Amino acid sequence: MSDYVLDLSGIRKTYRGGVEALKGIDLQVPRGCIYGLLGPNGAGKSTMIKILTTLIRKSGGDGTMLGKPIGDRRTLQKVGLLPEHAQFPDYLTGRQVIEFTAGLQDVAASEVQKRTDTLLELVDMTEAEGRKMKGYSKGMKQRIGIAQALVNDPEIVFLDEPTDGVDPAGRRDFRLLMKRLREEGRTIFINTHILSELEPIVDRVAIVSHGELLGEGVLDDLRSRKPDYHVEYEGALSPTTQASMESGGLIVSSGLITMSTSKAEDVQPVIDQLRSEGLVVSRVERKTQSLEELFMGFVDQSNVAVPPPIPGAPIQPSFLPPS
Amino acid sequence: MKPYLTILLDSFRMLKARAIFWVTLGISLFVALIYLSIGFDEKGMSFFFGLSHFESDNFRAGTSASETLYVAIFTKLIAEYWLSWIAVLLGLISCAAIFPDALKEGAAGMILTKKLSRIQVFLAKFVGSLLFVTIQVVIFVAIVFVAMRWRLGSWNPSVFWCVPLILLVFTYLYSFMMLIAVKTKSVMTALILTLVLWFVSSIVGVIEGQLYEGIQMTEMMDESRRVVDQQAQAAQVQVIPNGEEVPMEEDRDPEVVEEFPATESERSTSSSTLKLWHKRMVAVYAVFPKTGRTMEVADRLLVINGKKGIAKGSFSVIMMRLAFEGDEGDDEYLEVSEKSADRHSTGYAIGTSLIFALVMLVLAAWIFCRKEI
Ligand SMILES: Nc1ncnc2c1ncn2[C@@H]1O[C@H](COP(=O)(O)OP(=O)(O)OP(=O)(O)O)[C@@H](O)[C@H]1O
Ligand SMILES: [Mg+2]
Repeated sequence: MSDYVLDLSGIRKTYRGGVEALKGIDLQVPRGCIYGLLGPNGAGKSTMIKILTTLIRKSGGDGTMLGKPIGDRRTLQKVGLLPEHAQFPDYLTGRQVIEFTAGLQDVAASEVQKRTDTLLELVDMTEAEGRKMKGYSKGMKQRIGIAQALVNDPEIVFLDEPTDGVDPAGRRDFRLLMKRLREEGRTIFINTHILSELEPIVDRVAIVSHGELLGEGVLDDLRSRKPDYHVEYEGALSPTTQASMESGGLIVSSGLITMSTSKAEDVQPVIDQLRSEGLVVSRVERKTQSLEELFMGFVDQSNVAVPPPIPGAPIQPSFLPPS
Repeated sequence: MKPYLTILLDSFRMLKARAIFWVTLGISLFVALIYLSIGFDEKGMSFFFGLSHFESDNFRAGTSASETLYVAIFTKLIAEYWLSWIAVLLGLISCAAIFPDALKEGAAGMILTKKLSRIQVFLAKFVGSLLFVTIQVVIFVAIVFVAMRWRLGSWNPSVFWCVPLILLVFTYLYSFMMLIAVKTKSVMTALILTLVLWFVSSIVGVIEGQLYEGIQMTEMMDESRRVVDQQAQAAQVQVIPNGEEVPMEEDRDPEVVEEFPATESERSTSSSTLKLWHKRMVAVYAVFPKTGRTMEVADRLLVINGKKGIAKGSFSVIMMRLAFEGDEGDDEYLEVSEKSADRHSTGYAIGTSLIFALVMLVLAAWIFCRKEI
């Protein structure tokens, strides 16, 4: 048995009609983390979750979830899911939807009420719990969707675009909820392309595009591959200095020098040079890539049709072969 | 067990949430009420709770004729038209969306990703639909049951035979509808193709029945003809093929001679052609669900005036049977109709139809289990 809650190797999916949605994905998800599966539209993220939850069959590859082969029904009892385009029975109330999932997952009757109450509280839907789903707004439905995914006390939770349609307060609550679930030892697997959302909470990310895994790892590791220092100054740099800096690999634009380094001492000579020319250094900053930049870097690189990154753009992450 | 019940409960909630549920219930109660409103008194019978009344010697309280009539109204009008056509149709319409809905992406993500396997979900939904129809039919027949006690003075539990029979008819059609539904995920396609199947199998059944009765009639007339021939021979009269015979004897019945092909060979060809076509029709009909024949089983089981089998045949046949009661009914039409009603055994009609349903069900389940969402 592997230590991973999810251990996949070479997962492939070719849809009828020949679309290769996944082209051999290897993925290991450790227990108790928030795992982000990132990728542009059509990358194959939802396909991955559908395979793991038996909505579709894989065309190839192998994998285990919670130590059991993919598709094991007893395992699914310990899994929570918020599907993409979730459609809950619209003749049920929010509370009934949560109870419905509880029933399907065979949650003990004595537990159902208590858990439902707690979850409604958590997603801030207690007030509207008695209203029918058809009368809910998009975000309200999504909140109920998140709640129902948790009612069976799952060890692993799959959330496909969980904050689609949820307002800023709801998103903040969502992040808090995710952290709390992680503290309880659950693994949370989130599909998204809304990166800002994931950035503050995610432990590991995998980036997929066109069915291929482009990069995987701890977010901070992925980022630190390409740190930058930005030195901002006021005034005009002499052409000779500018030329020598540029030949030294620095990127110089008006008022800003960008250096590819993670060491503060490398920056000192540049500051000295600027000061010696009588310029004012207004700001020195160590830049880490935002998740978005990281993401775009990976995706652009994989996308042959897209022109290479514009010279002078601060980031050009290296390709990370899947481990 | 609980996940099964959850799906059953959900199916009910879904059906209840639809307008068609209330429409069906409304019409159903209305029809039952109309039946309940027919009554008998010392002078005759009344409709609409006495609103309209007519006097009759035969059809008044306590006569066997009135019991026959009242039960016949149930079996020939209500069971045959309302229950076996409209109630089944409304049941099909009500349940048409269950499987297409279950396979829609958003809903499938809710149910098919859980503890129950696909085949379990399939069965739960199937059983749920049957249960739904059962409840509606039971409510209806229960009202009829009470109505009979009230109007005729005695309990007639044999009317409850209608419940399993209607359910069988529904199952034949529903299994086909499920197959189309899981294949196409389209409510409309499933419903329309099911109606087509229903219509075609009814037509095939009717044609087969007509051919059968045709053969019976021909044979019976041949028999009469033979008798006539023998009589003619005995009287030493020659029967001429075109129907004119010389000399005319008094005890001859000229009609019989003129009506039929006169020569032995002509008669046997027409009868063998009929038989050939009938054979073909029987073969075709064998693979169809026998909705009509299945409902007719109720006629064999229904008890009227303490006797089984009186309800066989059409409404008029039943009333004729009543009229001929006692004089050993040697009416030819009655005889043919009786034979015709008995030509398929219950086992054949229901057995072959169930095989049809089973094949559809297995195919539907197989597709349902393999369907990619
Ligand atoms: N049922 C299907 N039949 C055929 N092709 C499909 C089917 N579902 C998805 N695809 C294709 O598979 C690819 C991956 O789709 P998928 O839904 O997994 O993308 P995604 O990463 O979830 O995208 P998004 O961010 O837009 O949700 C796409 O090219 C899509 O067109
Ligand atoms: Mg998706």
